[in-house]
Amino acid sequence: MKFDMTLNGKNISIESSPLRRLLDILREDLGLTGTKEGCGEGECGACAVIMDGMLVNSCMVPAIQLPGKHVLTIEGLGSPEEPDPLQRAFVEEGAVQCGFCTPGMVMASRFLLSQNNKPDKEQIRMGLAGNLCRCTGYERIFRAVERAAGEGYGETIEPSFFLSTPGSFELCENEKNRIFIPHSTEEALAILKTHGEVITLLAGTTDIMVQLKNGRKEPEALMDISRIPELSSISLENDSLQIGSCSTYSRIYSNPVVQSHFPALQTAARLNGAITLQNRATLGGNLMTASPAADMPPVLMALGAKAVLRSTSGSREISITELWTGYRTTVRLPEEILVGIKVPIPSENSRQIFYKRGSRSMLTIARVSLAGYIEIDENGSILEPRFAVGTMGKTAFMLEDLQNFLRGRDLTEDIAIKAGNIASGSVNPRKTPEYRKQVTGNLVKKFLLGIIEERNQKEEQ
Amino acid sequence: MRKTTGKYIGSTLPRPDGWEKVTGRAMFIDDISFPDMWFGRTIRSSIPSGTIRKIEMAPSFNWSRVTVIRAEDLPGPNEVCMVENDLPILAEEKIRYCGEPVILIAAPGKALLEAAVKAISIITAEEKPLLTIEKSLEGKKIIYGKDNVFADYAISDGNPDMALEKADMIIEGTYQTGYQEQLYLETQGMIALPVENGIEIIGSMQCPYYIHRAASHALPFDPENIVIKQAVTGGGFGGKEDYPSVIGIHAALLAMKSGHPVKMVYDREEDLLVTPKRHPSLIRHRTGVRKDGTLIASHIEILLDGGAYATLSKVVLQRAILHAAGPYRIPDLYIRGRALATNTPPCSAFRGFGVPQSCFAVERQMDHIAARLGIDPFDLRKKNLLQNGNRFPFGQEFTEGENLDLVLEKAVDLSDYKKKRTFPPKTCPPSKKYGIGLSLYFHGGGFTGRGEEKIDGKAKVRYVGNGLIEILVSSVEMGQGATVMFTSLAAETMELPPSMFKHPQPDTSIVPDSGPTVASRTTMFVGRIVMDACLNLLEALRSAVGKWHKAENGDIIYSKGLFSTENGPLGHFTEMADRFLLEEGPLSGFARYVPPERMLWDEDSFTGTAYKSYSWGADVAEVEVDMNTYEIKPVRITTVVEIGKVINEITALGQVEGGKLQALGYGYLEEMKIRKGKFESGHMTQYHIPTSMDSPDFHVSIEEIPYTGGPFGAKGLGELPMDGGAPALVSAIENATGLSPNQIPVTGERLERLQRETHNETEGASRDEV
Repeated sequence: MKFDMTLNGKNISIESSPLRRLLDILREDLGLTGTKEGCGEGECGACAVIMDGMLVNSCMVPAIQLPGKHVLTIEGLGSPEEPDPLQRAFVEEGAVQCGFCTPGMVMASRFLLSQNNKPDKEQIRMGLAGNLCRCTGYERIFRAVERAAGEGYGETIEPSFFLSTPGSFELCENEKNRIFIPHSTEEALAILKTHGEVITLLAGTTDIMVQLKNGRKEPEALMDISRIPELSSISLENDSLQIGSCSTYSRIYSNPVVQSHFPALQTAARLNGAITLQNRATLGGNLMTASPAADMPPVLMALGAKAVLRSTSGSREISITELWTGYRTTVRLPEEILVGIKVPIPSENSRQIFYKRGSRSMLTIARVSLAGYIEIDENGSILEPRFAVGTMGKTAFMLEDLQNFLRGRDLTEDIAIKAGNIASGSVNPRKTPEYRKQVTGNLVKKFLLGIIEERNQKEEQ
Repeated sequence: MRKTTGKYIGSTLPRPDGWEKVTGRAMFIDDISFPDMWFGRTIRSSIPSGTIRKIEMAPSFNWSRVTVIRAEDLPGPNEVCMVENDLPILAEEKIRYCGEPVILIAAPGKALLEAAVKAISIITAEEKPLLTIEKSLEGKKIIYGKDNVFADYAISDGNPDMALEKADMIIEGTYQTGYQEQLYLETQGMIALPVENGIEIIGSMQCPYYIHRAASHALPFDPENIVIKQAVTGGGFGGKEDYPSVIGIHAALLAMKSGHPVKMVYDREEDLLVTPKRHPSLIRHRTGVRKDGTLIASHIEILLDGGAYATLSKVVLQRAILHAAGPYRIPDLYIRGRALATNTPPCSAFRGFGVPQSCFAVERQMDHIAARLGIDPFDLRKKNLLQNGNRFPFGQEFTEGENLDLVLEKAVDLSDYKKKRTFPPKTCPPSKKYGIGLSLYFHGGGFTGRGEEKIDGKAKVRYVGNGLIEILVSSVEMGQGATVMFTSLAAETMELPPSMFKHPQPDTSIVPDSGPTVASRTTMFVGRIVMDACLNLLEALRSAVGKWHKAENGDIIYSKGLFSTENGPLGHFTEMADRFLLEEGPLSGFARYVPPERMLWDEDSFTGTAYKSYSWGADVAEVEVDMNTYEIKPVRITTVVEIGKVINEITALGQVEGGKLQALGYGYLEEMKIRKGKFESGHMTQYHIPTSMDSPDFHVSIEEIPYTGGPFGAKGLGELPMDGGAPALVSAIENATGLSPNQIPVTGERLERLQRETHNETEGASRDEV
């Protein structure tokens, strides 16, 4: 395909196959080798660039999504003779050692400062969590970012609210009827009606780009649904929050309603990968790849969400628990799109939680994930308990025995401990079973004991 | 800020290589291309042990478009020479580990290369592999030499068996450490270019002359027609010490046969699965102590899993043994170490080079002794510190009591260890358990024994005109700061601004062999040689200036960049040097390593001066452990090191912090899983290193007690921070949880299992009592 885009402030024309990585276009086609490849799987951040104002890993961005985009790479900042203030801070504070992670780290720091002029140390840590460095121990990098922030670097970055411009493109002969970039749900559904059986849908592409690198065959036909405004919207309607399937994690956790009413959902979105991934990965992708280790399924199950699927023949709403049929399979028909989900606004007497345990703080795949939601009446009796776990089987599932045990009981310490034991007994993961059973039980107990403690504190007051 | 010596020593001068790196202009190997360049790939065994029966090449593929090389096509000996010559360039018939190179392929494009790789299959007959240290020792299957032993050394001092009998208590411990991957952010890579009657190899490396030696051995060219050039190198940590010789030869063979430049850059998965890692270890301690905590005797046995080939295992083992007793006074002692062969990917160099393993074991042992005797770990260490006049177990006199005591006391003070050990700080959330622990360690600078004498490092500095002086050494900048170190030393020595100096990436056709960039030797040894070379250049110039001005040499004064006589200035260095180029020819200074006197090492008896100097360190780690999820979080680390002299302050701090985070990762996070001889952590989603969210707050203090043999008093630093972090962390975990892990990494799974087992044991014990 042929298309135009803006690179470091200049309009350029690109000719590329639709799934070619932005990283390869930069390095091999355009000779901009400042952007590095450290893993090719979206894990290390060495290839991070800023696209339409957002930090992304360029190994995760296929050409099909590039028409009309604004991309900023390390070459678009300063030069060795005239480094920009952030780059100067990096060198002078000792944030550069071997230099391989540096270009990505600089882009991540710039993005952080564009969003937050004066980040504290924890915010800097969080902002750089998707960029691995093996040399520095990060301390000097934090100092460089602090210094640039102190010098007002963030204020100098023009806020960039790039709307996804349609971006014109031209397909080659053999790409016609194979590559689709619709701009409305109706357009997408019409295409699916004819080509649904062979089409692979693309949104955040954080999963498929890894699979392609590791030997997956290129799909026969592709449809990029990331440019459909309806699918990226988040809105409050009739006591439920509707989240479009192409909403990215960073849009989800920065949404005010999510922040005020869905702390569990916010946590899940925050703990998924790191910033580079959160700016790309979508809710729909996380649900429809149907990985048992995905973070969103358990939390949406516990929150009682519904999935909305649509085709040209109409819409259907199903409980999110019915979305998956097995390992990496769903109920979606070839002509359907997951438009989004609806999550009921929780009642005021409810509590919710999402726990994830990987092997490190960020950028980790869950070994245990647990979501809990309970409603308790004023007498301390449990009305509606909902618990779901990920990583423990072919799909995420709800802990029915635990829910049955808790429903209608008064929440006491004894009940919390018993509940933990029941939860432990309700899961049977294949790998490291004792550990994961134990942690599952501990987390259920921790959640319930936390609620009791909160209640006790209130009573004391 | 530190007080500088002269103008630049100890300063915070920014690294000269920083500007190109931070702007994306630095050219790493994968950033470099040549016209008509091909791409190369290695096809590897998928079994750990067996024989190659047949290579099947799909007839449907047009093989004339690509270059294929097998063992029988090699133009020279099938050996990558390192310490031994046992590592084949390509496996001939026998397969000894999973991932062993069998076939090389190069093609003009990546897609064609991919297709060619898919059109080849290796048919093998699998044999039962030898996978563990224990099985290797058993010797039922022999895969190396006559007993699977790469190296076997022992140190004996006094009569430990008799002394153990006199002990009030004998405390035993078994300690295990796992693989660790260097995980330099830039994967390994080389480009080879065919040149007339020879070959040029460019790539990511630590040791240009190692590759030169290996290529000269394997390829049919005169050594002077083999040129090795370093590209900007994205981290090494030991991982680019010996393995680049393998890739360099592979790329060279493909370039020779295809007639094209050939680039081989490893994908992360390939790099993770086949390149050498830190040796796993199994270490046993038996220590005899008096009730008051005095150590009287010790018996230490070290076993390292070397993998399928010898690589550098022998040398790693030597260092492990020499550091195994820690900085403690133990009158009667016996240490034996062996490195063993298994059908697993060969292990080799990684920052610390055997010391992180033996340091983990001895520091944990000290904690166990302390716990058994009811003494605080700090007091036990303090009581048993080596004292001036004592000897190391290998006979070398210990003279740095002041240094050792300083790091321990200062780390304890700065961290408020004593108070926190009794009263945990209130900052720890109630849902987590807080713990604090310490470790004490040291690292011998430079090569073991007579290694520096064998290497005989050389350096040259030359004036190239335009006010520019090149520092020509084979020591590379790989992120550690060699460039800023060399330029600072040279600038200080020659009293000229650092901007006048360049440390170009080594090219073996230009630079003398200053030795490999390993063993914390670059500042201490090569830095010193560079200073001598600078002085020699100045001397040559001074003598010319004297000749020009008809003065005796002694009458020419050089100070602050200016030549003068008693009667007044003659001219600036640059002016004089330019004149020298015009009138006298090339202006340079050369120097070589000068061995210190009275430092003898006997490798057969393993006694004498093992290292020319030692650097010292102490860590205090503080952790929070979530007992619901078994999540371990290092929250704060206090490190005090004594390194003689700081050459560049931010670089030194960066070395300590970066090394320390690797050491912490080694302790609880980094796990290279292996199953049936195959590494399973082939992705960065599987082999986890610490992120910015996992790094603790660092509190680092660098102490200076100048060492007369080093440049401006400097000793080695690079590896030291890697040695102590893991035991301090595990000690803190023990303090937090009451559980006592003896195996690293302490993953959540291991901690949970330990809790379960400890709980069961206590239950069992209490039942017995009833």
